[in-house]
Amino acid sequence: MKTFALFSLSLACFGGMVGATPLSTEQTEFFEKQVRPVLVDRCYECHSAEKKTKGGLALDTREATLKGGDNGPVLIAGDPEKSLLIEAVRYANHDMQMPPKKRLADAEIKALEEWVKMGAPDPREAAPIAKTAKTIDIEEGRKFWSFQPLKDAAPPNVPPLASPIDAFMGAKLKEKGLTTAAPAEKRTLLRRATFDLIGLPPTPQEMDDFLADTASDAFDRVIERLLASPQYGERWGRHWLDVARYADSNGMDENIAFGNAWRYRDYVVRAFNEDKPFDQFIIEQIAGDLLPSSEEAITATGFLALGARVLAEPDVQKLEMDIIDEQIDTIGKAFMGMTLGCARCHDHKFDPITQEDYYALGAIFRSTRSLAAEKMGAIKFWYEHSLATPEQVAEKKKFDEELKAKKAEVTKFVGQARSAVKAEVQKRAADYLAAAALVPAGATLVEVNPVAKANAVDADIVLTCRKYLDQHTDHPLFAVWRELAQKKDADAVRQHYEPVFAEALTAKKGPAYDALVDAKGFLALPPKDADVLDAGTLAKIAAMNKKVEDFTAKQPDLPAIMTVADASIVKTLPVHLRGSYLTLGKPVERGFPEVMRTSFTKPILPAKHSGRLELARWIASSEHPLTARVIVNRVWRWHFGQGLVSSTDNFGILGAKPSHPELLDWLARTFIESGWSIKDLHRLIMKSATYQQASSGRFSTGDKADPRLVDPENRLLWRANIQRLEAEQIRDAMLVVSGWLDPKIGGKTIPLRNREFVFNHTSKDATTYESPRRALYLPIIRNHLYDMIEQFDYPDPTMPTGSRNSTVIAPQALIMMNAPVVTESGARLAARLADFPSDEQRVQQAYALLYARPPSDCESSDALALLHDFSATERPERAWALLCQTLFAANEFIYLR
Amino acid sequence: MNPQPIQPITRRTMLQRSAAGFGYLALQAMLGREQTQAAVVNPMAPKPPHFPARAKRIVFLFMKGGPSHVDTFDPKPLLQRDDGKPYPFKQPRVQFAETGKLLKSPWSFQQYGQSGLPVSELFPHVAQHVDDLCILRSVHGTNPAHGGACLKLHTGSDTQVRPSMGSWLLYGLGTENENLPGFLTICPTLAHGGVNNWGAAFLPAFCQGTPLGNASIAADKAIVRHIRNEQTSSAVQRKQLDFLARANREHLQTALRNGSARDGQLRTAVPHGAAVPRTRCALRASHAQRWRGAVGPARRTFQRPHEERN
Repeated sequence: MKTFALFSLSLACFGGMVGATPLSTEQTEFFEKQVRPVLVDRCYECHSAEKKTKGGLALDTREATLKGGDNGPVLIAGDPEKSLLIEAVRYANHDMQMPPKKRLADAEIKALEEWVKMGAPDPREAAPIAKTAKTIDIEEGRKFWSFQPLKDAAPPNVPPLASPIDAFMGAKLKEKGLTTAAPAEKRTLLRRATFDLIGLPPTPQEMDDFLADTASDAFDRVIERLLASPQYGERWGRHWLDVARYADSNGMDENIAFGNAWRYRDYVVRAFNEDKPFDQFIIEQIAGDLLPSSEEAITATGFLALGARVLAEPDVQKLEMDIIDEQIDTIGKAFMGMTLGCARCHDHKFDPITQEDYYALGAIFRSTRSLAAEKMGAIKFWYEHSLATPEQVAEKKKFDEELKAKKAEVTKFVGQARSAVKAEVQKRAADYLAAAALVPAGATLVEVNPVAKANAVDADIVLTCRKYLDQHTDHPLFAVWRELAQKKDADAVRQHYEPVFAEALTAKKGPAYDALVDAKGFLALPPKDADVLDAGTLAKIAAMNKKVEDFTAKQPDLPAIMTVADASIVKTLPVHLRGSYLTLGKPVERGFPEVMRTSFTKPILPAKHSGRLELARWIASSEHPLTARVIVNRVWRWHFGQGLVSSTDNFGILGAKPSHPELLDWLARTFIESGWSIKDLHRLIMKSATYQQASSGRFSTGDKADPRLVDPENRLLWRANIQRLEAEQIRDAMLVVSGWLDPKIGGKTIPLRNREFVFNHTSKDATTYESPRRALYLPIIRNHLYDMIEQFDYPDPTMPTGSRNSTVIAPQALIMMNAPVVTESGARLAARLADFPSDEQRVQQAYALLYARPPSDCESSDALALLHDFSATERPERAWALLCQTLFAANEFIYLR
Repeated sequence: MNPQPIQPITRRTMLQRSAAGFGYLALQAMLGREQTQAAVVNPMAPKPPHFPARAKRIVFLFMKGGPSHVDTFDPKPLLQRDDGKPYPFKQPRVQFAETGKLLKSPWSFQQYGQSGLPVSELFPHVAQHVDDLCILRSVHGTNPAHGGACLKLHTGSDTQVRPSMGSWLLYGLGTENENLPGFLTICPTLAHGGVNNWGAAFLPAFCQGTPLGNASIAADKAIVRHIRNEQTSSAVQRKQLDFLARANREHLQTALRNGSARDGQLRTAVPHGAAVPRTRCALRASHAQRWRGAVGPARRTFQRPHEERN
């Protein structure tokens, strides 16, 4: 900022003078001969009104040249040393070298320097061609649907007892001459609802109960039962973890374990189970650390800490801005469906978000601390809030001291072993010199080996010795050696030096002694222990090191929470031109994106805090045009497989338009009225006929309006979407029906210490996925996801995802046919079925568990025939296991109707 | 269990089986497609380049932690001369480790071939082919850390997640091979950016590089995951697939119940169509090896046993 002010001031002093003074002939001539050609040939391509004005700079008119670019004025008339233009052409500044592709000739640089020194006389009179930059009109931007306040639309004529949702949906269907499909069969509905709410299939018992319950509110009670199940939070918390780009490792340049991320994961599960009001949920995730002290809320703010970052970034200022960028981008997408990150380098290309808006948010996060003080070599660590008690801290200190002592013991042992070798080598110094005389200068180890062997000395040391002697050709002590080495007279070398060194070792002083003990001298030991010590000693050292490692592994991490905290408060942050902190523009005060502002005045933020809490409250307010719309749309998407706005994470100009705008606003309003209750929203949606309809629509060939042609994408929901189960549902369903699933909730599950490398440069990932816990608890290793969930469209955990893909690719089939988790589930299910007395009953039970229905006679006999086929080559248990695995691999298991 | 040798499966067989057995996985996609009546355009179909190309294929060998250009193909006479002296220019603004004095290359260079390109003594054999090489010496980096530099080289950005070079090429040019991934990466490192180095970022997912194995295994051991089942013979798997074909057909019929006569057409269309869309990843190991065979003998690994951690 200081430099910016300085340049402005200088311009004020000199600027007027240059333009006003009439030029002398010499000056004009100098400009035309020496300066203009350089500017035209080498600068105009990127800096002229007619072509480009990179960095906001044009050099093709006097006015524009004096005005400068985004970095401020480029020349200080009379002072080349302070002129950016000169600095740039001199290639003195690594970050600003112009022209970027090829340096100007020295004579050209000199001409420009001379010109600036003269006061930059410039005869060019033409006015700059006005080129109006595209500016963002905030008022115009506000007219876009998603920035408009929520409308108060009443549902069109709702029949008694019907859901208002059906009224909204029905009205649209009617416009196209379509209707909702018939209600789904009870079996289909229960399977759909159970997978939907808890991510697991209904048990045969639950199915029987539901079929037997003929009361009109039977399904309502199913919804309540499922919402009350602790497994509800595990399923719906997982949806939110997609949005929160949750992972257990960093995953960018270095992959390091987030040993405490699980606390945030468990917080999310609890929040959904407790039906924490969603506005509160938002506030805690953005600013939980600023709420009245609560461990729960601090854990929630882990949301800001979970991102993927380049932790070994050596440019700390860049790293800090990159972290802020990740936080702003995530908050934008997760809560507001806005791609705010696009405005880091320039105004948003499509949405009415200016670069000032971005840096207003940037200032809030610049006042937030995301990095810890500790680091490991080049790797910076994320900030953590310690939960350790004084006892734990004391214990850790004691442990660290013990560890230090153990390490010192190893160091001491190694030191002693090396000293012993060194003493031995010193005694035989003359032998080494003799051997060194027998090998040529610049010898390689291959050449040295036979000589060393013949003389019973160490080859590595001979090599070092020879190198030393080659490099120190004026060392007086070795003058004799140099002479004798020419003749390769080893015996003479030995004869001469033996008494010299013997004497030195007794006297313990003198130049020969100094040479003997010099750690970098002619008898320097190779740095690697393996090249110095014998096998027995090396084995001893390895064993000692192993003990230290084992001891280290025993140490538990001190309990801590991944989160952020307020840092020293920055009230303004300059716009970073082109996103770089090296080119700063005008300072911006902390604030919120203008286009979404609902208050008359700009927000007034506290001087002593970052303003994150105010930001969080603003996002979570009922007036915010986006927040409620975005979450109700996501919940809709997670129920139906498609959002009312299909681009769940982009409500901007490039996003999709809502298929039912009135319904969306009505849902958002109702959601806010219910106290931001997600569970109430489930009730509202699942009790509608729209949710409960069959996946096969009502139509016949003669229909005027064949829905398959009128609405092929089923945007109007004339039938239920057939949905493929998500990765976790498939895996958990296999485990639960085979009796393998461990229903334990929460806790640390990543088998790594906090901040431990997931894998080093060998790419060996020791992470295993054999845990029988729900898939939610399997480690999420960025850069190396568990293939079972990855192939079934688990989202990229580096960015928020509100809508997973549902692809059909061959590796999915390979997994269902060959992956151990599937074959093992098959074997376990077979063992479970063995309790039933007859083969027919076993098949019945398998169909009930997997497909929530009994098999038809035809299916039953088909399955038994397959079993019979298998039995020709396989043992009975194995034949059953194969049948069970086959049933898992069928479409019916992984699709919901 | 009766141990049966696993029969080698040809690619053709594999595709046929995908069609008969698992093509039905495409149920949802098929339903949608039939209804939209939209022509299916393969996004990976070859596209004409903006300029006529002379290169037919690209094999990009990236050796993280390889020797420096100064020690291999890019001799620096001034560096040789000024060995041990302090920097003649300003220290870099960002330093990964403390910067010391200038250090010359310990290897000597010699000119080779008609072009006279200098190659260091480290590569006496490569040097014999120097006239077939094009050596680019004008590339420079801005990030001295392994991870940042790897990401920058592959994606152009060490700041944000961006599509990799291979993803862009596939996006822009497509691929002539319909049944194999258009962008393969063999035994990539998982460290230093890992997936992000061959990721599609904001490009469509099909542009993502398909990894075969990773740097922890030798290249000749890298296969498509789960391509084999050690417990189950192919005869038994054949029976499983036949059963699945029937079960899936019935499931499809149930899903379409209540429909019109056109359902019949759809059903007959399925077995044909099902093979096409998604067999692209069904790459057999032997095929991958043949593919490598065309490039040259597969080395077990390009990596040194111990690389320093930065």
